[in-house]
Amino acid sequence: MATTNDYLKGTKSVLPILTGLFPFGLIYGVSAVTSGIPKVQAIAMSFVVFAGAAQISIVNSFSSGISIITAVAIAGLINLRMAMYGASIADSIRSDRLLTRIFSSFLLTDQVYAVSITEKGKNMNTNIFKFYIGAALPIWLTWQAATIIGVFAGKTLPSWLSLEFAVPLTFLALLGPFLVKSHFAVSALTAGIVMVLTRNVPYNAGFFIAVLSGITAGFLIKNRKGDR
Amino acid sequence: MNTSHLWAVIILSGIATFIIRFFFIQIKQAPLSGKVKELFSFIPPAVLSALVFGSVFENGLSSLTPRNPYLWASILAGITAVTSKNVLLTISTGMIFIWGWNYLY
Repeated sequence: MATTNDYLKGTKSVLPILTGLFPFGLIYGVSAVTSGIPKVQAIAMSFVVFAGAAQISIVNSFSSGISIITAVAIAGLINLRMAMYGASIADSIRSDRLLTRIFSSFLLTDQVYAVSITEKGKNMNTNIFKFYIGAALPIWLTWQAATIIGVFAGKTLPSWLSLEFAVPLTFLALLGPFLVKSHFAVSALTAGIVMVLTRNVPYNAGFFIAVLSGITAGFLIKNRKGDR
Repeated sequence: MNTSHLWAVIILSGIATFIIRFFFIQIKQAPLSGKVKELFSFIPPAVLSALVFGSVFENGLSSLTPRNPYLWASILAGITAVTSKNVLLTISTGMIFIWGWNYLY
């Protein structure tokens, strides 16, 4: 029905996702403080950056002591996918007001993109802008609440829990769904192997060599096969 | 990296992330060609994998030893990730392995 509230529809669609997002936010908060990041900065990062995997990469960069520019470049690379989301959803959520565009851009995440683009595909009557905002706000609230709880719980946890290992495990968990496609698996494996081989190259250049090798290998394999 | 460097990282990453999010929502037409989109699609698996391998093989090739618990934990978690596609189950599998290892050794 066209009369249903599209904001609420967005909120409802995102509820199951929140149950997975909350523990993810906890893990970020806990691993930030156990890596020695002060509470204020751990919480500020969730407000300023608001992107889980990139925030966890910054925790990783902080504990491995790399340069500011490298840390920002890694976080930026991880978030580059959001440019694709923006390009794909722009027509449905664009507003005439600059402030509204800034507001909706800031709330763009994997989760809100996924539910909005799905809704757009199956229901022509839905106002996607309202749906998007209705989905994005609970995601934002959940992320901030989970971060704050994780940050205050973090220091009370014993060191034998090795919670810092939750950081690469989170990346691995996000990587999993990609690996079922062979060209993504080739890309990931190439990047991983090159990363190990270039571990001693200075200024973390190895990371960028690894990522570029991975992208190139995956792209070549996919275009050689010419399928999918 | 000290905490004032970290403030710089937080603010610069925030700005970079915002620009990435805002760019195509602001620009009138979406000019991304198919090939560029395809190249973009390889960034997440390549970046994530490089970060995982970088942590598991902290000392490069010399970390390739059966005494490296992170190696076993990540193989186990990797299998869980591919078969279940469940983030929390994957993290739990790896963490429980490490706790077991820490308890035994």
